[in-house]
Amino acid sequence: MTVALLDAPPVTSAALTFDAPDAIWGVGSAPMAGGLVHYPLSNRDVMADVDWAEKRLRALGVGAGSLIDLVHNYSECGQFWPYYLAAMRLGAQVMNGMATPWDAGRVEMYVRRFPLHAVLGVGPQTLEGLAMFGFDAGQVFGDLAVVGARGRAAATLEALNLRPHRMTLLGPLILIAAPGEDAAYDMAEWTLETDEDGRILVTSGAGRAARYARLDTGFRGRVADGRVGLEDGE
Amino acid sequence: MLDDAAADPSDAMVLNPSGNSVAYQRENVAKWSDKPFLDAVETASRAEIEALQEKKLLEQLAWVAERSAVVREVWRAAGVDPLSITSLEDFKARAPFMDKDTLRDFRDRNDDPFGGVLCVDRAEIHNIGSSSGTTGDPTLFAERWNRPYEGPFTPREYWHLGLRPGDYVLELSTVLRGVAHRITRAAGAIPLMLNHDPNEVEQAVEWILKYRPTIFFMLSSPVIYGLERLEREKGIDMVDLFSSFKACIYGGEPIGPRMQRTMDRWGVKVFEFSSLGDSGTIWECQAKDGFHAWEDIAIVEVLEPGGDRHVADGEGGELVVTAIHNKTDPLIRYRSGDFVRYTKAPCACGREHVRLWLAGRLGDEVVVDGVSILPRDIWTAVEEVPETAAALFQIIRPQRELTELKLRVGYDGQPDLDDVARRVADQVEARIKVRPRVELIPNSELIKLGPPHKIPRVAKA
Repeated sequence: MTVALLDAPPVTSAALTFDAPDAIWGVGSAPMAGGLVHYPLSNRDVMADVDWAEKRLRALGVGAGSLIDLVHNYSECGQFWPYYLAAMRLGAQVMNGMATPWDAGRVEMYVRRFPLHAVLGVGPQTLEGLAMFGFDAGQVFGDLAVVGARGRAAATLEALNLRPHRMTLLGPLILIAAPGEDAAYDMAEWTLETDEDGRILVTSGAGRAARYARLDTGFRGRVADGRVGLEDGE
Repeated sequence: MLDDAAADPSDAMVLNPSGNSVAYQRENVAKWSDKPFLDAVETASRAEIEALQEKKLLEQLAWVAERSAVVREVWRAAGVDPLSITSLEDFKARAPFMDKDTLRDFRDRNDDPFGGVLCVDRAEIHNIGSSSGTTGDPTLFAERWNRPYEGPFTPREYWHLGLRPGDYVLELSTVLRGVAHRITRAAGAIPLMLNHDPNEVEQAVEWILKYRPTIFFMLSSPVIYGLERLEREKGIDMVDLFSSFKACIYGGEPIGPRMQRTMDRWGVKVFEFSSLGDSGTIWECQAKDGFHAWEDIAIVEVLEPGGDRHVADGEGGELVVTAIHNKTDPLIRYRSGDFVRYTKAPCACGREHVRLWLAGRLGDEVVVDGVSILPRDIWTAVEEVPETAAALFQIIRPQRELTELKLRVGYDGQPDLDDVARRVADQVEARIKVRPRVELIPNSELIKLGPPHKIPRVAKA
């Protein structure tokens, strides 16, 4: 049985507890099987996710002086914000664009004007927008060390002879999988498991402000040894 | 003062989980009180404001003379040494101008994405955002997040409109120039983060009813269009929905009369904001009598369009802005292309910072058979036709002077298109005495042409 416990975060005196670990930083939204659900993030949660994001960015070769473009919509700030802070902790600079057809023009502009190391979060909408504006996605992303592609965009870029990492918003988690590999996840913060039908369920760690219990992420795949492999096409 | 936030070099450099420096956040918390203003400078007199401006201006000129490549080039070409400026009046009399074309030209000649305005080492930058780029390649904004009050707006605006620590802010926002939640957190509030998308407003309704937020950032014509549809289809009680908000921030474009009537019917406390010539934003205050610009952050001038004569208080002209607080990528005497009216008379809210009223962008004007037309002249007409009430439209402007007015107008539903086009043309002709040719396309397609909170109001084709 899938149960979600998503209480409203307590309104406390932020003047007294502003940077306290358990003070609520914000309320994000996570795409789940049943639609978007909202979940609170505490300062502690953000910093735990920054620690994890720092490891992921290091693995992608991001370091001091790197320029990275995070392509995400505002509702995804809960998942992407730790990547901003982690990049800054590493001495990298962050640009941002939205995962919409219209904003593909800004993604292209950043790649054209800056020696970017990585663009993370390219989705089908970005590719649709690039085509709409007359850009060749293979040329736009061809010289980058790392492209993180979401959903069907990964296969589209592979067809253009690129080797994108696969990025997935698995509810409140961001998964980044190198080509041909499964994605690691933060076992200290989340429990992932599959049910009898192969659906991936997420349970939040004890220290987190959000309390998820076996929430259906809407994805199918396998979970083993701290890694997640999504079914083909996911 | 703002710069005191950097008194402790270590805490000034360290960012907290909200992306603000620890020192800035500590200073901000110390400001919270039962007063309606956050910073003492908000209620400074004109004399105090101008004395502060002069001091900061002279410091800024010394800063940019050494560090801003485009300022050095522009001022050298004008034969003026920035260090020779002695006062505010001297600056207004002798300083050369820059505009968007200046920056684009510098950028292209020097392969400098920042157009020569960057005054710090790139390694000091945290985030690079940009304008929406609806009128060309986007303008870049470099941000150092350990520098308070260099972002698009400040916690002052929220505080004055009633936000208090611990409140929720509904953020239906975009990811253009950085991320708005940093400022919400600096103000001590909790952001509820959703997309600025008319197709996702049902989610916003659910969150409003659960969290009962204090501030709505932000409303726009597409979002109101989405809420109206929800009201029609789901019977949502909009008066109850908006009852918790002390302020709903509206931005991107002017509010048309029909939309204003809708918000009045819903009891929405609307406060508008707009751009301050790429050097910040201007916001309405509780008095709702003009948009305030913070004059400890920027010097605001209003000049005759294309000229260098200052227009009198109460008159209209082109907005020209000089950033005096921003040390990262300041624009100096920047001609914005925005047409505004202004006054420095005291506001009923208790502030004497300059107030502006927006008339439109100079680059949006078309002249059809001698008749000057701006998008706001079309607005009401398009709004009055039910099928096009969202007022999503574009003026086709291959050049400024035209022999025929062509409009691209978005519609809702599956109406008789010939009939709708005729009624839109009738409404426009009744108001501006020019009959347009109307091309109709679905709202959902028109929205794709721009950022979520607005569409480009002029298009070349």
